[in-house]
Amino acid sequence: MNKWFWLSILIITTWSCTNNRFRIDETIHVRHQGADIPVYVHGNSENKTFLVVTHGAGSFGLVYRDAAFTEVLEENYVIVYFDQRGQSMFEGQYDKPENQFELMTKDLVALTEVLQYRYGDDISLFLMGHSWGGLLSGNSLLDQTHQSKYKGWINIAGALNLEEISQERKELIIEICGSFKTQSEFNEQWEEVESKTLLLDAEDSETYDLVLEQASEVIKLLGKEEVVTSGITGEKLYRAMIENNPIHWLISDEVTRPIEAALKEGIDLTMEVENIKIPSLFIYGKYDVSVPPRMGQKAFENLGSEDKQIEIFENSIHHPFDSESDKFGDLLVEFIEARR
Amino acid sequence: MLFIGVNGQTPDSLRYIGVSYLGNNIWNPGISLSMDNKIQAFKNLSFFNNSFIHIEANAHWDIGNRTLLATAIGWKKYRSSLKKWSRSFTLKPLGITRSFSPKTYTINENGNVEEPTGFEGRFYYNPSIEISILRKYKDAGYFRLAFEMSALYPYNYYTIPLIHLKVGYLFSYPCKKKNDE
Repeated sequence: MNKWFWLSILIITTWSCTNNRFRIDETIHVRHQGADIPVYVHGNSENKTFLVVTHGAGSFGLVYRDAAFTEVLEENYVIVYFDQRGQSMFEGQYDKPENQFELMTKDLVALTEVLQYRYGDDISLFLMGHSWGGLLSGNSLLDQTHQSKYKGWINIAGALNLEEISQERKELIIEICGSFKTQSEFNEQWEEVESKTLLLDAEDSETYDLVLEQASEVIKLLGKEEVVTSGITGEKLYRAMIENNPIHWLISDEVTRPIEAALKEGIDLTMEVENIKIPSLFIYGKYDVSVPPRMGQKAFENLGSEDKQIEIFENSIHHPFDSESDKFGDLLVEFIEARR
Repeated sequence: MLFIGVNGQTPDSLRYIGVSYLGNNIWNPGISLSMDNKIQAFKNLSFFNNSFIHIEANAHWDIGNRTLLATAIGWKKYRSSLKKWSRSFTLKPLGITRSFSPKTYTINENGNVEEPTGFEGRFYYNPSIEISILRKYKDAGYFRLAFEMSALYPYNYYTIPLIHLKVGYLFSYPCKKKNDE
């Protein structure tokens, strides 16, 4: 009886080790131009396929690490989350950069170099950017040498035209209000948002925050209408409060705010994306009043890639990976599998 | 090491040694070791009454990210007499912290990647202030609950605050003995 017990233990232990042989779970840092980029690498390396996730404004890398990312993507690929310059756990000692956006773009290039160095030149790399990260990742791909390292670009609600973002938001807010106000029990509230938004001159930079305020009201009303359902998962809360340092996150974002400088500069990649030739997948939420899908559509039409695809998620606002997690995971696996 | 005075009374000690759990943001785990040496000079000045030179060494781990080691020297003042419940205030202007991120790959000036040495990290100037509540435990020492706020500078191109909670024990070592009556 004893020998069968120990044999079972041996078999189970061997099976466990074999199963986890390709699993990577580690944190590395990339030291570049006076700073250390924390890079969180998690997933299955069996296919040697890596997906680099570029987070949104005011966010941090690990916020994406739940739902579709952990349940689907990490099961199939290695997901690389990182904190951008001056965000969350990013650490360094450098003078305030004159052009933070360009420096952040170079950080992404440096990160790619290190990934290939550490995990091998033969890995298949895909680049994903969400919101501000879409702009940052797209900008990095304009460097042809850097672009050649990637097999695909996944742009999720990428804010590719900061010059016209406020106007696009205003138009979408009015459109959504118009479609709900006649049939909703909250019609008075929809009408109020619509009338306030109509009064705003979106081309006036002074009204940028006011348009955003109305966008927030639309998001609240969409929640009441139960058009979009998503919440903060326990896993996301854990990442934000425990694995991330919330004080670092809040203070760094308050101080650095790279998007403000980029807005002032009016960065617009709508035409420049014609230089991006790699297979690309654009995903936007139908009700995304933060980054309206029409903005993505315009850039998509100019995209240089012949292999390109755009998907509008019908029940999503700005975080389709949260609100339509299953669909998101399936779409990404389908895209990556066909091109890795 | 532990003083038990005549008639079971514990007079003020000349030295305290502290061992505490240090929780950065409460849950980032760490440890704090400290030593307080009573300032003997200027006894007549109330400012220096129950004042101590405070030295400490801390370590904590940012979960899944980096380790930070810190050391500080400062001035600590206890409440006028150490009763069952007491409190203290510590000012630590001389503090230094070193972060450790052992798997750091460096992009050098030529654009090439360099292997980690295992000792990559950064030094920060780290002044802090601390307030604590103490409760006497028999005659052996004091339970201690402390709240510390500090700053890391320069962090990127600004300053980052750190908040620590410390829960631990303060041993009196050694103590003066009262003369027998």
